[in-house]
Amino acid sequence: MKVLVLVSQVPAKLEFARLDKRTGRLEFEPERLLNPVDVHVLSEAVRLKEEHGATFELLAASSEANEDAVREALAYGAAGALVLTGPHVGGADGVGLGVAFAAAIRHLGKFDAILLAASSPAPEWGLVAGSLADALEMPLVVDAAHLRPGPKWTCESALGRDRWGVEVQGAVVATISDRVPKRHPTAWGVVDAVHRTIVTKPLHELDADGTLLPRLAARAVLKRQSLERKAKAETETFADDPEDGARLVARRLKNKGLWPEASR
Amino acid sequence: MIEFRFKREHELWRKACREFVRDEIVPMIKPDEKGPGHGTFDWPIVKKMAKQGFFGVPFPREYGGAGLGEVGYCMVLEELAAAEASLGTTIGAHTGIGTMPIWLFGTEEQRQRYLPQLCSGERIAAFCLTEPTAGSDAASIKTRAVKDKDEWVLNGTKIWVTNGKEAEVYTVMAVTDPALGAQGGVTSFIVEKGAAGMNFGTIEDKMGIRNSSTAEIIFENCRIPDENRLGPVGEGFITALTALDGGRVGLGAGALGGIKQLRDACVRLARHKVVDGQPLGEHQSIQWKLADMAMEAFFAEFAIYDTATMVDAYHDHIAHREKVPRALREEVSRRAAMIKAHTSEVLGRSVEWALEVFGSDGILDQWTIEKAFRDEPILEIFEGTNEIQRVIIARELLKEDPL
Repeated sequence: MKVLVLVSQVPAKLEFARLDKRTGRLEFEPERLLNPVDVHVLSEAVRLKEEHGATFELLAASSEANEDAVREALAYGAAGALVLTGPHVGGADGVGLGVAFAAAIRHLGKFDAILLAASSPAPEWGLVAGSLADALEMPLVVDAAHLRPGPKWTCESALGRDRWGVEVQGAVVATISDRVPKRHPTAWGVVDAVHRTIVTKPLHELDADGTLLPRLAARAVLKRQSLERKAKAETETFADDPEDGARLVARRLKNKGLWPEASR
Repeated sequence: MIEFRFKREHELWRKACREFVRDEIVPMIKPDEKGPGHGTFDWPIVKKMAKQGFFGVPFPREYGGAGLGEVGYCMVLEELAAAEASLGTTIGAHTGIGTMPIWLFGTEEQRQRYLPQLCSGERIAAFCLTEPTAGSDAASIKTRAVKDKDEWVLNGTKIWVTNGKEAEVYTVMAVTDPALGAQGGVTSFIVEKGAAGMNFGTIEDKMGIRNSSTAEIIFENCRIPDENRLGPVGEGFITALTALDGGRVGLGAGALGGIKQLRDACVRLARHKVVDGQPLGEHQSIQWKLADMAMEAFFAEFAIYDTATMVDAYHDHIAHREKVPRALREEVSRRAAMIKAHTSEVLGRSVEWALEVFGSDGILDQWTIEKAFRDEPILEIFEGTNEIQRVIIARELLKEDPL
């Protein structure tokens, strides 16, 4: 059984966030960590590996180097990782990212399950799963837990306040609930992660028929405009002291538990 | 300029270790009930740690270890000790002094036979050196091993054996030639639990580290096959001292974890508790104590991990049967002694500083200070008292000729 886990990255130190007065955008130190919500997805993949003999690989997208985040994910016992790169990735919105991931997955081969986080600090993440499932023409289960393979995939899924038992025929795209108990990398997993090769692939290499990048480019422009508007609003709010403003944003996100604790 | 940086695997391991201890170990830790009795050796926690690879961190992959060396091992001890000193003690006795001699001095057959099960935590190891009449003066051990055809017959008593009754594999030092004394007259052996003639005596009831096991072990005509002899006849004291050098650096890492834990507890209190209308942390007398703990932790951390990388080089030479440069051996030995003595004493001072910061709250059970007060003293005693460490340091200094 082959499983693919989609992972993403977050800035390692929000305390160093700054507002760039020229561009009006939030700037962070380049160091990146694995998105904390992905730990639940990786934990579900580890459980499938331990209980059902699955192997799992990673897929990430990044306009900047995010090797640290991917290595951290590899430490959970993933067999390998592919990172999509290129200028279009950074600007892509959720729908565009889903389309890009779908192109990469077609390149990688067939998977029995494609898992990604049900929630993320990045608002556009919510669109990725739907877009991906649509592009691959695969069924989508949201907020899933306790996936069990068999003639049909079965799992729990939460919709609103209710939990449902779900059965899916064939391969499945599932967003994994943050109710899944967290696991942690073992000592052996950590060492393996450092020695695994991370394959990077420029997005344009997956655009064989020339239809992918134009779609992403159009969306990227839209997203950049949206980001710039948002950043401008932040700049205006904290115009007197941009640095303090950035810290406030950081603290707000931290209070929501969306970022990992700073190191001791 | 000195620059020390962790390797990528160590940075990853530190994070994995810290989060695992915080999320999975801390919620399982039971209070170390005081009063008569000998605490609880918590097998569910031990099994959980074993699954995570905590029992084989420094050893090579080919024997089932993780290959993270002394640096990775120190990280485990630091994180564990910050949560529960007893767990650090269990891992330290198993890894640093129980299993390490088998990797460093064992034959290939012995390594293949014992290390995979010890690295996976399926079996736990212990180290038997101290005797009722030989503590700091380890050279005067009395336990005898007499060769009888293809076997050795052990007679004697070992005390203060950490992991005592719970372990299954014991590294035991015994006198094989009394005339030669420690230098040439002591040999080490691997003894497995269940060997005829090996019995357990007192299970100690301790003031601190109560959730670790400490036992007396008695050998009465205990027969050990010669294939279980660890290293050449007469080199057992070298085996013991080499294991103790690495063990002392790990012990320092455990003390560092304790110092950081106390520092963090004091900082949290100083931020939130209000005294005389202002936060406790606004008082200079409190600030000095916080600063002292932070300074000590900073310097200890550098010394421990820098020395741990040196221990890795030292161990590699021994494990690969290469000649160890004398300067390296002496430097490791001296640094290990300094780290052990200094960090354990700083931990003792940190407990006192923390008590002053917490005031009367500090003696209550619900805070970490009371437990730290009971757990700390043993660090100044075991694996060589701090007085013995000072003797080692001074001897090394006097050997050198600065002129």
